[in-house]
Amino acid sequence: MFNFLKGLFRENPIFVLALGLCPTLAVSTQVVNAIGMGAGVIFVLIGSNIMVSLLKNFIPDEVHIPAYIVIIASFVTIVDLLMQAFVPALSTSLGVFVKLIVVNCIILGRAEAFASKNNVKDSIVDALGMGVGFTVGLLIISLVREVLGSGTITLFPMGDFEGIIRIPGLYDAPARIFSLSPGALLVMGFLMAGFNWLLSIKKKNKEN
Amino acid sequence: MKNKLLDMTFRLTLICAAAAFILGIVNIVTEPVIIERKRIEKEKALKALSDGDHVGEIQLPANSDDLHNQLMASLMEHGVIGSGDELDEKELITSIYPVDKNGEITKYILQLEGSGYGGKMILLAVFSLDGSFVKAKLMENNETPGLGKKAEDSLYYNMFEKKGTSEDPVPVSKRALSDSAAEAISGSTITFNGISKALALGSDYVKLLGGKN
Amino acid sequence: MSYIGIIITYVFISNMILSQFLGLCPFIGVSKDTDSAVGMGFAVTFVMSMASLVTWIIYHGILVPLNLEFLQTIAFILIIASLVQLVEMSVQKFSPALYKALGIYLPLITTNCAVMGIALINVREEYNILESFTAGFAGGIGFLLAIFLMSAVRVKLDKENVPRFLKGAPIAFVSGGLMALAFMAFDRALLANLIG
Repeated sequence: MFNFLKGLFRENPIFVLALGLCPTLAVSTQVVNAIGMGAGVIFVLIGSNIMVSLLKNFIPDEVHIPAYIVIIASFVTIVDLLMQAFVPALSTSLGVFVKLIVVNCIILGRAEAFASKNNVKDSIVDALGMGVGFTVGLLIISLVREVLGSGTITLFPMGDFEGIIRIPGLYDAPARIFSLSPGALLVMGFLMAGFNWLLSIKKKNKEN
Repeated sequence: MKNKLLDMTFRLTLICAAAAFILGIVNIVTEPVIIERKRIEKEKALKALSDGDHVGEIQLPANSDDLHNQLMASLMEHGVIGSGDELDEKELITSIYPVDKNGEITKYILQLEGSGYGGKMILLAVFSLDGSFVKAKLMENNETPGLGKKAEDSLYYNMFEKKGTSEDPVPVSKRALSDSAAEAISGSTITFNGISKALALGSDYVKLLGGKN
Repeated sequence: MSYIGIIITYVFISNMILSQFLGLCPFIGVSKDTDSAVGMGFAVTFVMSMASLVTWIIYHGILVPLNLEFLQTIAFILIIASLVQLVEMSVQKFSPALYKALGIYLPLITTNCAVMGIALINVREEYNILESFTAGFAGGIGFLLAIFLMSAVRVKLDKENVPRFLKGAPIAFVSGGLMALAFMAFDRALLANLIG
């Protein structure tokens, strides 16, 4: 349980560790992208953590980085091909960023820092915690950016629901800067500051 | 020492081989699905654009210098390219589908390539024989949501409706638009430029085709 | 697109960091002082240009003819990793001074999104070999420019009285955002007016 929760809050990959930022900011223009990207990263993280943990005695120490990279790249390619085949709309809107999961520092970082030293079960829990923490971070950023920048919340179309919630007032006159690149960096900066503040309150409570 | 190196290389190669093998299997499973999905998607788009009329076999732009020169002259006249500039229609018009009613060609659907804010855009556009624009659908693109992505909406193309005849060419600059249309594309001028230029090229090309098959 | 067009695009308009968010980790992590920022920038420029060249040759020379495009990701990352290793070894051997300056940044480049990003963009935009190389080089220069400007801002920020929770990375992001806002002035319309 501890391994799971630490990824969500105290070691949140995005807001605290500041890892895996490129895809975070680039795909956070729509909520649906954040969900898709999060799912992709969780899949790759779990897969690579399992494989690295299983193969930790087989992989020679001197070449462990290339070996990890090959494992990660394979899982990324699997996600990429599956997305292209079964959720094409998501695959087009994520673009090259699906392939760029391969250079997402979180994944190599977890393989190196956790999976290579722990058993399979703990590695899965660690991957889930980190992956969910990443997804939650991504969701918060994309929610802020999409609501302010486009005045919509884009989810999956289901039945009669076309998948887009339009927010009255904001939809007609959105603050477009938030869907552009400067907005992403500004939102990220202020959310990080907010996270620091939350963490400091928690710490204070613990001390008292 | 040498054995260690060999062992290392062997293990790494084994991992690579296993990875390539697994990916090969995944690819065998997904490749037909991807190709089939792309085909269905395009077929659906063509069907919607042709209003149910019969869509003929795919054609490619003719490789003719004469046609090319005529096309460049009309593009220059309509302000799509500057004088002395050239573009290669064989790269920008990637396929042509004649639409016929009872065997007589009434319209053409062109697959056009334009360059938008996020790079390449692929557009399917319908033109009548006189070159006037009917409707279009934006296929592949990397435009910004909330801005350029609006071009995926069919309403976006209202500003081009019936434009493209010899008297009334496709508007390729903001100045040629009505105030309300110009307001609607503010913030996404690059997407507009890419789309309008592609449509202008398509329109002029269809005019030269003139119903010939 | 002309070569000048590609250079202007990747240095200013589609700047790797400020408009495409590729290479953000070093942008925040290695921009604390100007010397290391510039060192990192040059190392990235070199690797990006080389990687663009080599990935183009492998993709169009091997993967496409053999119908193995699905191995693209794995092949590109291996090329980049070995290229970085190669650069590290040769710099260490031939120029110990340069190695001392760049050494610690080199391994980090493997997981720099900008390098992998430009290789994938080259494929997506269907550039030829020279265009790919130009895009890689220009992308690297754009990275260098952004990280250099950022380090200059951060040196100043160190002396300022920043609110407690914004200290460090958060204020760096906010400054980066403002810089990106300034870079928005480099619009594609500008390019169209410049070179048609």
